[in-house]
Amino acid sequence: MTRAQRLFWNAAGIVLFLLAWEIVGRWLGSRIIAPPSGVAKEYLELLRAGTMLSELASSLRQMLVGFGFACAIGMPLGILMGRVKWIERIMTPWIGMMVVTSVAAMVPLFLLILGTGFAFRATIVFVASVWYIVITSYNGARGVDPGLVSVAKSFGATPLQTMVKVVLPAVYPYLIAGARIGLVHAIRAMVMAEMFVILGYGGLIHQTGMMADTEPLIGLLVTLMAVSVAATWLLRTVGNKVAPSYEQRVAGA
Amino acid sequence: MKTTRRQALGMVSATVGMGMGLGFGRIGFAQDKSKRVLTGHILGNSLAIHIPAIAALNEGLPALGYAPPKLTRIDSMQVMTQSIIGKSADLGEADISSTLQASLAGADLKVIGLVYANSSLVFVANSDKVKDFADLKKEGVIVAVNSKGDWMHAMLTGPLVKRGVDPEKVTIVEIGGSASRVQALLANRVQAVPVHIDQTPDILAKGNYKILLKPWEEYKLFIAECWLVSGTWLQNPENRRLAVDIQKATLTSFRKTNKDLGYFGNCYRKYSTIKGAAQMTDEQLKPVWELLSKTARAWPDDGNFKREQFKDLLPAYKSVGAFPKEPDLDRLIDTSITEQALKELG
Amino acid sequence: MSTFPSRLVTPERLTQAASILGGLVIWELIASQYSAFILPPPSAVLKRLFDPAYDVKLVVALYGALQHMLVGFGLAVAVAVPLGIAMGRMPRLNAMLDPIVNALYAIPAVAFVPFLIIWFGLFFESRVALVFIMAFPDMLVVIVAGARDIKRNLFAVGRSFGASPLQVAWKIVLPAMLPFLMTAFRVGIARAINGMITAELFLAAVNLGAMMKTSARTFDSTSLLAIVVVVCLLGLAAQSLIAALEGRFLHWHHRR
Repeated sequence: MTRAQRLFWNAAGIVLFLLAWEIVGRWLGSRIIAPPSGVAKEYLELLRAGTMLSELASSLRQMLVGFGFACAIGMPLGILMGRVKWIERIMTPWIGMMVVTSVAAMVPLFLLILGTGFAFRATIVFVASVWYIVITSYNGARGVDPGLVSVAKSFGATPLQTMVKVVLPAVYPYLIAGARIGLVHAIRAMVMAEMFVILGYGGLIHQTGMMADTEPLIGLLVTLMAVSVAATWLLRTVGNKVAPSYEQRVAGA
Repeated sequence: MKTTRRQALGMVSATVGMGMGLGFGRIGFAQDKSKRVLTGHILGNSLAIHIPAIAALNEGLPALGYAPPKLTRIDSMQVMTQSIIGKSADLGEADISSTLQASLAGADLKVIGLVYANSSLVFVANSDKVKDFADLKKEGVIVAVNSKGDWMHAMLTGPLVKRGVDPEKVTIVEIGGSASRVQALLANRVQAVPVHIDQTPDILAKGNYKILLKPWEEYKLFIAECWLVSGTWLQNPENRRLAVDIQKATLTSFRKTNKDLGYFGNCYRKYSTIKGAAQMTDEQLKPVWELLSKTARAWPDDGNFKREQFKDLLPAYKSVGAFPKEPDLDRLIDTSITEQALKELG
Repeated sequence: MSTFPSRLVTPERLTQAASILGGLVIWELIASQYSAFILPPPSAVLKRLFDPAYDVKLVVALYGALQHMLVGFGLAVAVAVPLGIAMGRMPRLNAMLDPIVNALYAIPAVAFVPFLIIWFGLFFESRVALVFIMAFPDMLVVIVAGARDIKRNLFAVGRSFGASPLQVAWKIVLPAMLPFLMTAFRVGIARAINGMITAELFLAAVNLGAMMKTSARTFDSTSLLAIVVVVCLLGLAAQSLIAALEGRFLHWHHRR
């Protein structure tokens, strides 16, 4: 399939989806599911009122701190696990456990320990995203071509030099991928924690969900979707821009 | 490769910076009163009954020389209590019921005064489905409260038992603040909710709804919301001074409200979260003001903050909370702050 | 998954066990500095988990919770497998549905809770629906990728040997798909368990969710942590079960 053909079918799918939604929406009424035409009108209202965007901005700020910590700790930890045998062995069982544990189940506990403020929301986001970042970085570091490492060693490179010159470039795409996966989980966790304590953007979703008409609720979800899509896109683009040579080298290897 | 190293360094330093911001953000108190910013968590909605206390924080404290407080709205009462335990704020507008439970479980909490005495909450039901109390246990009838085990849940349980309805058979869900509860009732997601008296005209005008329960017809006095702080916080002399001043501001605001409908009207227009509050006239507010000030005595001039009153209500609180042992009111309730404030006010 | 006794105790497993034990000891030491209310020690959690009275409640709650989890997961499998294979094998269908799936996937599932309440109420149906929308997209993504990767010539080879379409599906396509399907199930069951507890906390509180809310109300962090541990163990058990099934099935399939 050529690019043009794919775009055509993409567009066809979206148009059909919106059309079906519009028909269903008009048929069932806005109390059950508002049609896209109604949502579009309401969306302008939401943008004008400003609450949606201001809540979103403050929620995202808190999320980014948790996510930043998750990257700062998860990436080095993942790389170390991939390169150092005993760290790998020590960490593996813990990560296996943490990944299957539902973050939602931890929310009531963290709420008791940390209250509702910044620390609470940042911690939930951290816990929800860090393990995915660790696992992806770990997989990347483990897969580094042993040939390259031994070449570096035979040229007298110190372990630190090997890390910076050989391992990091090879792991880089994995770090970006890990950050992308982690970000998806971070956004999920942010909304979940906020819905639970009825604060911030998630709290707004909860409160709006109690209204009779569904237009504003769908509007909030559309914004969330846009943020999520834009954030992953941004991470991918910036990641590729910052170190295109890494990407090529791995692709060529 | 240089880019990455620099980038990595930047990331680390940014993270450390953020971490330090997190850590040091709390040590913000100054010796100077005018620089002291009270962080308060108040409930999601402010209705008539809350107005004097909310006005006291916003205007009374600055009048005593403090900086304007930083107030955050927390919708769920359960979360409110937990946020004070987690030290997310200095002061919380908390629910007595969950506060008692927390204190019993070992949380270091002190109740320093009332946000208001008595209650303006009434239960409104969808009359198509609910004709009387017995209908509440019918299939498909859902009652929404703020949080399970909170005081409004307790307030409903007593009258249910009195009328021979098993509270266990009533489906109760928790959906947070009164604005959400009104929406949920109007959208027919739930069939009975507690709302504040000044929210009822709007609901009754929108369809077939009726007031099922008025607490002042059931209870002599129902104490609902209190000012909550943590015990260690109160031990600091500066904080203690602030606590006394909060009580002074609250009592002053109570007294002004009882004397002057104009003051109440002004504050209501400024601080009420109800839709269209800013356009309400004193004349429109008069019935609510009279009911709360005169009939319900919700804003007592002397604070009416006594341990015995809590004792009378213990059975009600116990009916919804799994209390592991007898609540220790002496440990939780600190009347010395209000007494000090009364002495200073004269 | 044919584990022999000799392989039961490997140096790797020993270090892992030591790691868990060490972690618990450190945690116990740190927890002893705080009140159980702020940070419950593992010993208290273990004691709670071995308290028979508590276990009765726990088993009843778990039984209730597993019902909507399994129904939701089953529905997600029933929809994701055929749809995923179809999308993987039909590029046009994939091009049409892919943007929509991606867009909906970008919205956190829990944000749909208000809608689920409108459509399905607050109880069982709604819980099943939340489990479904949490497990379904994650599985779909894996299955689409898996189905797309099956080499076209596999089908041709089968047919040239005179196999019927059914035989091709059974003998060639299924074994080729199996690793991906199993990965999808593993991902899906983890999400389904996540959805199970999320639903009980965010819709009308029942089962484990109700236990957690009661514990939170009485500030019993030990019980809260005990339930987190149970959910974690449930997740691990489900993962091993699927891994065991995968081994058994592959083994059996090859022997035929």
